[in-house]
Amino acid sequence: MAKNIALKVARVEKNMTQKELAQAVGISRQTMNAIESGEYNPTIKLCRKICRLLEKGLDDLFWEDEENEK
Amino acid sequence: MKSNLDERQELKLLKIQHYGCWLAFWGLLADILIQMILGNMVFKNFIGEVIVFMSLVIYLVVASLKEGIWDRKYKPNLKTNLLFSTIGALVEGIVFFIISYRDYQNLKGSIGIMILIFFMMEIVCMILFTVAGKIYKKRVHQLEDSNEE
Repeated sequence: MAKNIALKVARVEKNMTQKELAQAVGISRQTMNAIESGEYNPTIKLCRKICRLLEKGLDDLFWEDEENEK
Repeated sequence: MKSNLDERQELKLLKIQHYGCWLAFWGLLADILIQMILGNMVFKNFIGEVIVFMSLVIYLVVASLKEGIWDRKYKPNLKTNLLFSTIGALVEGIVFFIISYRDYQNLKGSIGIMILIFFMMEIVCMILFTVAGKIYKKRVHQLEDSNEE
C-alpha cells in the first residue's frame, strides 16, 4: 500500500503531531503512523473520525488511484 | 468495559491469539501421539490433554459451522473429504503400527493392525466430514436467506 501523503499534509496543515491526532480520534500513535505509512488500512468508522477532525472529505484523504491499490 | 486497544491493535492481538490457538492445537495433538508411541497407553495418563484437545476441536468446529465458515482454501466436497480423511487415517495407522510392533515385534501383525486402523479411521473421518459438510451447507443457506431484504 502507498503512503498516505494527503493525510500527512492535512494533519500538518492543522498543526497537529501524529500523537495529537491519534489521541483526538482515540487510537495509538503507532496506529496513526501505520495509517500514514500505508501499513494499515483503517475501518470506515475511523476514516470518518479522522476526516471530521481534519475537516476533509473521505475522498480527499483516503481515495487512491487504481494503481496504488494493488 | 472499555478496551485499551484500538482497531489495529485489536487485529494484531487476534492474529497473535490465532497463532497461539494453532500452536496449542498441534502441540496437544503431537503430545498425545508421542505419549501413545512412547508407551504411555494408560488413558488416565493423558486424559487431561485429550479433554483440552477435544474441547478445542469441538469449539472450533461448532463456532465455524455456526458462522457458516468451512475453510479458507478448501471446500467441503468428496475430493477434499477423501484427501483429509486419508491423511488422518494414515497418521493414525502409522501410530498404531509403531505401537503394535513395539509391543509384539510382529511385522505382519502390525501391518495388519495398521491397515485395519487405516480403513476404520478413513470411514469414521469420511462420515464426520460428510455430516459436517451437510450441516455447513444447510447453515450457509439459512444465513443467506436470513440476510435477504
